[in-house]
Amino acid sequence: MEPASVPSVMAKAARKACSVSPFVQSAAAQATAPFAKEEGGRKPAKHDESLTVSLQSLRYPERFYAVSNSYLAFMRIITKHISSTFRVHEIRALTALTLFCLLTGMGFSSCASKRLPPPAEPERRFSPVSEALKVDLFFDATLSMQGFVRTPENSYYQRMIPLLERGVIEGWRGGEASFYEFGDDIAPLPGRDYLDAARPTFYSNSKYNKKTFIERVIDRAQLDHLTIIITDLFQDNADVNQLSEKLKQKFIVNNLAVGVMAVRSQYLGVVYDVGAENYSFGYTSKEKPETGRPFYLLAFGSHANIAHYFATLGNSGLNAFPEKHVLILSSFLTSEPSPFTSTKLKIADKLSEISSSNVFARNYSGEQVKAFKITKGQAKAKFSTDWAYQPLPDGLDHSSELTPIIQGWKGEDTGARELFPSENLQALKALTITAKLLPENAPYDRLQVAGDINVVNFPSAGLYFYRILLRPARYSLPHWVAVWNMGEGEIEKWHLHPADFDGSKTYNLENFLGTLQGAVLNTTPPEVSEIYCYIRVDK
Amino acid sequence: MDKLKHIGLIVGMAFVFFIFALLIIYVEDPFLDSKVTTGANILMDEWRQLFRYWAVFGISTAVLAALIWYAWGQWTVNLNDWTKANKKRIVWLLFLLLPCCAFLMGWLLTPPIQEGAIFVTAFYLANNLAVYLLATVFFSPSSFKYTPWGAVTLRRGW
Repeated sequence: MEPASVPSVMAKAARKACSVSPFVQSAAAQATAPFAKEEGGRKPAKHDESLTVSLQSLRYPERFYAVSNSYLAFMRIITKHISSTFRVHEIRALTALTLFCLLTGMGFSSCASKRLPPPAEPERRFSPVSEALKVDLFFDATLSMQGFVRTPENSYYQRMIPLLERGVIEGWRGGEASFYEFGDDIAPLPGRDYLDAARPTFYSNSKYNKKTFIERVIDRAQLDHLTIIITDLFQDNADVNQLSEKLKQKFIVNNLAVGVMAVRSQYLGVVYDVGAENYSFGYTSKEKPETGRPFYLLAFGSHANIAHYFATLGNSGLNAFPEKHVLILSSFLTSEPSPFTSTKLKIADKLSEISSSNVFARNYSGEQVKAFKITKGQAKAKFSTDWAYQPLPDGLDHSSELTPIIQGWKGEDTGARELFPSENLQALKALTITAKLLPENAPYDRLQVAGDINVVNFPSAGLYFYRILLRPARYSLPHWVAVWNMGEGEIEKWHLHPADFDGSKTYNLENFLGTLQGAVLNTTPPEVSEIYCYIRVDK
Repeated sequence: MDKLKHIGLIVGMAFVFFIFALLIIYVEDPFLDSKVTTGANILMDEWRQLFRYWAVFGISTAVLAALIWYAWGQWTVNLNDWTKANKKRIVWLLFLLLPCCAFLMGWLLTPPIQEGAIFVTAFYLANNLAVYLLATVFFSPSSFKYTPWGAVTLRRGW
């Protein structure tokens, strides 16, 4: 069939419109104008003569009606024009192509996979230094401590005493320091009385100077305060076990830390209660700092507050003391969570990293997640990455090898909006993680993680989710602890030759700190990193 | 009539572009998501965004080449006899260089991938050539409507 000519179609539309209103006549006439020229200057239709109708005379409903009809007429003209310009099979081909695109696109869009909930917030978070803090300081008032203040010159112990309050005032804007003396009992030291601890008379009170009951101080300590005990730490085996247990129950299980600042000071006096037989030895330190007798600041509170207090003391003057060590036993090895998400992969073989928003059903702002996609047909895939690692200063000493503890889940579709994470032992076989700290010996500054994925071991296609805890394979006490420790075997020799007594060591120090470290590792094992891997597998 | 005809043909070219843009976003991109392995240094999402960018750049160049071809044929040459138009096929082929260059740019500037590169190459090439071909086969000026390859078959009798 011959397609209708465009001008004749437009003329028809105009004639139809003519029966409606003069306004429509005008519109239709304007629409046909260009075509009239093409048809060889054919005479305009006679109804064109009646186009001089004032639009003002139209009432609003009529005008609306007229405009609608004019629009419909125009659309009809356009449609006819298209049908006259293109052949039917061309229009069909284009329509088919359009429909194919839209339908396939809709098909792909509807295939959007369900997602898993993001990982839960970590149970333990490193709390920052408190804005304001109450610090309770307890002086060991037993007789053994007297030797620190009987030296001819101002000993390091004596020089340290005024710094204790200064450390609190300088360390915290709203810091409050309270002082106590303890031994057989505990008594407050009001006002500036604590400065008496620099005089021998302070240690002469028979009410306090017999036995060092540190455990009583621990009982009295408040968890929201920072508690500091200044002592020579002479404890027998029974004391050590009791003390460690108390510290564990009071502080460690509550995610608090135990800090030790060990300082060697000049000494002139008698050391009491040495060894199981409670021997007493006179001791005078020599000029060499390493011959000084150790005293300790035991600190109980949050890791950040302890570290901040020790750092403030150091800056106030303690850093000038030649023989000084710090150890903080806590469940934290680093204060910063791993920046796993933003770390670039060094190796990614047979897998693609995808944005975690592709696998999370909800928003997640953490930095511990990486999401991967493994396409169909892969048997093995692997990735590796490393990032800067910042260990907390004076923390637990540990090996560079790390032990990964992996838990695996598969996202199960239960019909809900998001997948349900179901623990999957089979999925555990699919992921092997190896991790280590670099360089090989401390101080470590990088953490390297590599993952080997055995795709065949995934039970089926789907979305898998792994929680990976990286813990040091081995821990050890710092080297100075063994050097400063007084062994049982030496005590019997010194009993026979008292002049050989080495007062630069502390009885049972290694046992005490080792037991405390064990309590921390068993109760709240520290992590180098906690990371999550989401893997979408096509099989 | 002339004005409407030109508008109609140019809108037709835009329509071809639009169809291929839809094809890229809703068909090719999700298909590549299931085939491509990016490896290290780039997220799959970033790679896909770059693919879409260069694919759309390619078809934009192709439709631009078709528009220039249209403008050249309609307003520069002023040819009345379509039987002489076949001599101008060399010009049509020259304009084809534009989508080919766009293909090369996309192919070179899209970050390398471990697997699925063959599909990416095929999509870039097919998109650019198809847009230019379809836009010129269906929407060339009257005098040149049989100049593009395949137009004689597709537009026979019209």
